[in-house]
Amino acid sequence: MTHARLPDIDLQTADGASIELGAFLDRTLIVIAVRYYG
Amino acid sequence: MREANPEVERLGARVVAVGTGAAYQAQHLMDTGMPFPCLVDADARLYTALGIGRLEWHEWLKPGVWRNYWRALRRGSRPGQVTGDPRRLSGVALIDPERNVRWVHRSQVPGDYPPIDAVLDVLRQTTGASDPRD
Repeated sequence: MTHARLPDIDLQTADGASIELGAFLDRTLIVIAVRYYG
Repeated sequence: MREANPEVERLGARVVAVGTGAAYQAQHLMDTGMPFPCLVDADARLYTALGIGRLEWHEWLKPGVWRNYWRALRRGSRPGQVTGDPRRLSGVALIDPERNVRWVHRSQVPGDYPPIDAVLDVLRQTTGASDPRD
């Protein structure tokens, strides 16, 4: 089932660089939305 | 999910983790063995696009909230500093290369994640791959 088509979305890498979600979409992507602790 | 990462890669997919917290926390996860990129969505734009909501204050009273916290504590998890949006719920989504959201699990309480096998089943359906256990 297809829910929606995402726009490109700016994210941040762990070293603080900006990256677009599309940079990971050269293949099917599983996104795990989590809480960061620690 | 880290245990399932080899199967995810065998199926031609990849995993990223996203949180609204701080970049140093994402880096810590990667430094301690998370085998996929951990990213920061500080303004929750991806969360919003995926329809992953926030826990309302009165929903802290749900039994499932405390059950999941207790389960995490019993596993040895010790929450540290909370950064980002503490009321933001979690979720798992499968996005194809054309940016279509093919499947999404939106948690109802913190710690409400789908079973890994369920995620892999959806991935196999999406990619047309077979289950190696068959």
